[in-house]
Amino acid sequence: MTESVKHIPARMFSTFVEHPLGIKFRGQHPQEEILLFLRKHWITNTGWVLVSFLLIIIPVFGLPFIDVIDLLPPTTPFGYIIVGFAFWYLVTLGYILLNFLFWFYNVNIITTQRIVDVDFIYLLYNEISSTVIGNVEDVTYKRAGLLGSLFDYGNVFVQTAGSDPNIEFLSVPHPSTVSRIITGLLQRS
Amino acid sequence: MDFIINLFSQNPLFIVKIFVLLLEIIYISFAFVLYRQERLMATTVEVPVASFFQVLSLAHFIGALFLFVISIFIL
Repeated sequence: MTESVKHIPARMFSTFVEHPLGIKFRGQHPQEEILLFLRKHWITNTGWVLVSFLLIIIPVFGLPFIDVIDLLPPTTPFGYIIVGFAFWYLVTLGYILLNFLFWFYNVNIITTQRIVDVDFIYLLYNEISSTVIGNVEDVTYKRAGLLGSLFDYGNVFVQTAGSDPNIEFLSVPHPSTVSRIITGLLQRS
Repeated sequence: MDFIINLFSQNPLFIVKIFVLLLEIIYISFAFVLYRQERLMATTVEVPVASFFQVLSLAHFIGALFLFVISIFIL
């Protein structure tokens, strides 16, 4: 008997997608199918989103006060103000892009064969940890704090046997469901 | 040496211009690294919207270069 599975296209801001369409990762085997695709819960982005918002509005609302508090000498050439503004917004764009890319590409993947954790920790440094389902010894999850309970996100810890690294899914949505899916795969294997 | 001292005393903004241009050179390096990082990320995890971020990070890098060139002329 074949099991019919509904594949869901992964949207730009998806954080929890079962059987995603159009997603692949480096090292994926031809017969390997992605069962679950995870990112950190969107609420974990609140800090840098607020900072970005402030960076965007500070020049807009701060400009009238430059004259009032004599922040710049009156002889400051107009070119410096233009370049200052352009540089400010360029840095803001860089800040937003950097933070968004780190959130977007730090993903956790559960396939029919493996559990994969893709981490980009610093610029130009990445770490991909994976373990085959058969090597998983224990799965636990922790939903801590008010936000974790309110938005249903938390950490999932996958303990492995042998030399395979233990895998941590940090701040992922629906940690109990993730844990249940891994346990189900473990029982089937 | 006298030439440099004269230059700064006649135009004190010149030292500010040099400082701004140096800052922009550092930022161009960061923008390039960010572009390379995006490429590395996109080859590690293939997602449908990756091309959008490639364009955005390239535009950010070109913007940093453009601002540097503009700064040379208008500062």
